[in-house]
Amino acid sequence: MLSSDASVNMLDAIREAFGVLTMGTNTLRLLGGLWVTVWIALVSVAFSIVLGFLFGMLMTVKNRVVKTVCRIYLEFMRIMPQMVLLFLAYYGLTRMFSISLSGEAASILVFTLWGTAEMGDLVRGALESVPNHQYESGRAIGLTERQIFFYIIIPQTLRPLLPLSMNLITRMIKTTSLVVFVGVIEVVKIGQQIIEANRLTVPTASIAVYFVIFMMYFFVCWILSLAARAVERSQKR
Amino acid sequence: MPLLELKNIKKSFDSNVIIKDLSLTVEKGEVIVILGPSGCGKSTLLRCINGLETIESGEIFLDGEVISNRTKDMHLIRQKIGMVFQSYDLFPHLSVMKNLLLGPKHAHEMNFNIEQVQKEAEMWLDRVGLADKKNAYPRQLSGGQKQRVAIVRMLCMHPEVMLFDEVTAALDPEMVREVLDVMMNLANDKKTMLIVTHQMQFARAVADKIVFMDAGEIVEISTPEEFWTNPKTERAKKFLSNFEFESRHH
Repeated sequence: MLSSDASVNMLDAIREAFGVLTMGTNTLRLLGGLWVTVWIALVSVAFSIVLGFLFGMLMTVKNRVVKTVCRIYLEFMRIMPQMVLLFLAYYGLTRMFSISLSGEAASILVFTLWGTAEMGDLVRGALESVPNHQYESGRAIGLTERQIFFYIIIPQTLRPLLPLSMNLITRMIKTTSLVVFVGVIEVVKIGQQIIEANRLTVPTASIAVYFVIFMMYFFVCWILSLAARAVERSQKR
Repeated sequence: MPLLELKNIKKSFDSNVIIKDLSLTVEKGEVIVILGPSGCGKSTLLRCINGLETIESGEIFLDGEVISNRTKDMHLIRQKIGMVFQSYDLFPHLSVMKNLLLGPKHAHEMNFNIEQVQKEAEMWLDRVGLADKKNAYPRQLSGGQKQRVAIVRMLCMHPEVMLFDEVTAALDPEMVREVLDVMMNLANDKKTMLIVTHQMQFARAVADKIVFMDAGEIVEISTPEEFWTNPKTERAKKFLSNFEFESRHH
């Protein structure tokens, strides 16, 4: 049991820790960092969805060479830790081809390549799960293969894809915390700066800063899952 | 000139000959029921007519025009040849009405008036007893209801020939009747129909002509009366005996 004295001290400590957030522009800076995180994630996700659809369609092609190449790409992207990919894109490209990307560009490149691979595999699964007689009944009412694909097959892949791709998107958002290693100042990095700056005056600041960062990640992902649920419900009607 | 003509068509899967040298003519307004044991090639025959399978040799004519093994414009031919399958394959993401209108809406070179098709679709839904289901989704319908919608979906394309591939085979017994009644009505409307079925009483009642197939060829063509009372071939007799039972109580 804590004595009442100790619990008062603890409350004071917490109050002091959260006080850091009201100092100067700290909260605004954190929000700015969050924006960098979300921006990198959203741009990568947008590219990944478009390219992932194309990649998924490519994976269902019957040609064996195409299939093998797709498979190798997918496995490579899955096996390589995202951090290694980031280093390859940021340092490797500069060393080998003298292509110097900014930290943001390297991050978007890596997350797009990774997201495309993962999204593509989800799209492939969804496409293959549409039964063959859906194609045939489309043909039987005189539709062209392209019309069948756009009006019958693609819409049927969206519903199973939605929860799966939401899962992927939240994973991508969380993984963006790695971009700090290629020099991008995002929300976690700014949090660390705030903690460092107040190390001597408020040694407990880390509790408050990381709590706020936790809440920020939580809200971003929560809003996404709310949106996904709303879309899912509107489809169900 | 016959509406549909099959001349010496052949089809095999790998080394398995499914249809060997089959010829058949279908006049406008004729209702032809194709009977035969499982695996005799009846379903494959329908699929060949609709171009879902290519044929190895022979030719298929619709209105005197060769329609077999077209690659580029097969969708234009299929607009004139409707087909309903055994599996009730409505498009699950679309309401009944949207299922019905999808074909007419996107049909190339047909220029359907969508408002008119919609009125027509409502009329057909009413005739098959599903007027209240036009905004329902396929998952809300029973198997028999889905199959009736599938038939209406075909009708909305104004096909010249209709192919029915064992449309009641996957249905619960008590739902078979409602689907067969719809087909019977279409036959009374003088539609041109090719029906593959195992419903023998229905076949006898609806058909103008019975085509009996076995092992990929037509064994005999006769009127229903002839076929049931006096089949010409041993094979047909044997087939028909499958559907008869002798009473245990003498």
